[in-house]
Amino acid sequence: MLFRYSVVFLWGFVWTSILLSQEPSKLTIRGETKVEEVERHVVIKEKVTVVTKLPFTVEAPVGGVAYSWEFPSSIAASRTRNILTVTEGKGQVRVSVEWSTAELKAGNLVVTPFSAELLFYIGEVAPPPKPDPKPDPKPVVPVGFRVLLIHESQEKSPAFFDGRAVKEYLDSKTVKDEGHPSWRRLDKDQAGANLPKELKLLWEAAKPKITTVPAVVIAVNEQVTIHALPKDEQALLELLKKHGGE
Amino acid sequence: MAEPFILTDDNCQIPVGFETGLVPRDFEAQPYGSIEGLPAMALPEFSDEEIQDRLNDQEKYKSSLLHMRADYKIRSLNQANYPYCWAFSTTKAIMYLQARMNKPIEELSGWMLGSVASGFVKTGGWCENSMRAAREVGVCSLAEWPQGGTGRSLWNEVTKLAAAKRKVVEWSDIPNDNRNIRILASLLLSNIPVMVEHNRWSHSVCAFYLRSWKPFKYDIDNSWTPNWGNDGCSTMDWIPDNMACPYVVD
Repeated sequence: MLFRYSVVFLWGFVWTSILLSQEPSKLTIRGETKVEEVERHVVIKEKVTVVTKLPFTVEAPVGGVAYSWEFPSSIAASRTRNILTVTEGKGQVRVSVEWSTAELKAGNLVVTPFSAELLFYIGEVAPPPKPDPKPDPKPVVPVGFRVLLIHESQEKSPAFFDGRAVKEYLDSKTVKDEGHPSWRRLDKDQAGANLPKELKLLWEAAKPKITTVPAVVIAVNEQVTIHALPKDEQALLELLKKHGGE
Repeated sequence: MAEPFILTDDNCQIPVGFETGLVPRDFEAQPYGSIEGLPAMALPEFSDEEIQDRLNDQEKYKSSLLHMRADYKIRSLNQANYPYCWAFSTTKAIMYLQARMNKPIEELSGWMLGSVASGFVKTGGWCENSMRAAREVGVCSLAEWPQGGTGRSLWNEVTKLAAAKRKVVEWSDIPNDNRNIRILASLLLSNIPVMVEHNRWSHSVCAFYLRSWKPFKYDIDNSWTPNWGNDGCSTMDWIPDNMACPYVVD
């Protein structure tokens, strides 16, 4: 009897050892293969704030000055100091605000800047956009003739750079943005924050590509070219006329 | 512009109904290059030959700030009987820079700059005070901050946003030594307006044009209306006691 039980136990032990040593969950392809890198889109679930009723307000800390709100044109909102009141809108919204605190210390005005940003949804959360196989559309380039004369304020530039003939030509040939001839003389490091939007777009596109100053940035519709400042007034006017017409 | 009005010790009196307001810079307490945010002058100086060539070129190409003053119809401002000359000189320098940039010309408010920089106190100062405010909060136009306005209530959300559209981005301190005539000439010939301060006149004004090098003469734009001097301006040869200049306004 004891001998029979011992044989059964030994038989079970041997089979268990064989099964454990074979990694039964792993599959293997037998045949011709290769390894490539492919994109994989991972879905991440996150919690977001959804505003369920209009109107509502977005509030920045009180006690600051010069609150400057930015919000998408897809919503209707009004600004009153540190409060943004949203009256219409739907979907994903990103709101940002910049403000400063100002105080006098020992006769000097001390200004400290602050900024904040908030992403939320109004009404419902739209499904995330699917990856678009098409390239991004080109930015909308405004139609017309526009010119930027670029210099370094702390370096000498020739007198004709500021000449009246250049001004008169550009006044007569450039388009008008916000009611004013669309050409400027800019320092190469200038942010251009307060330029009309068409010139701002042009400056943002051209600024990183300017390698030497003084320089001339010329935009005719979608075509933007950057030139070193010609050697004299006549050559500068010829360059401008080549693009802007006689 | 007609024949220049030459300012001298004999004709520099303050007209009735107007003020000056310069508090001379204390160079012992605030020596050149010591003021935070006010870097030292970096523009290369012009040689004698370059100065004369540039004077000729400015006339040939009509490219000086004097020409731009006419082209952009820049008028002298009016500080009236308030001691804010130190703010009006900065305000006017910003206007000349805007003309050089070909920005639409707006008359800017020295009243706003003086009021905010002084904490709404009727007091004198020097151009560093107003330039610091122009850099940190910007400057309003006269359409946004009216002529004669000095009340604290004017400094509200609307005017703060308006001022922020015109901030001085770069400006420089100018050394107070015997080289400063050449530096002043080099700046003016580069179309950079300069706030010049004369302790003997207790006044801060905006220099904008080098009329001649030898003898040294330059034009200033005063803040006593276009009725003073020649259309509000004069030619002078006094060596300034203090100078600063904005380079870039955004």
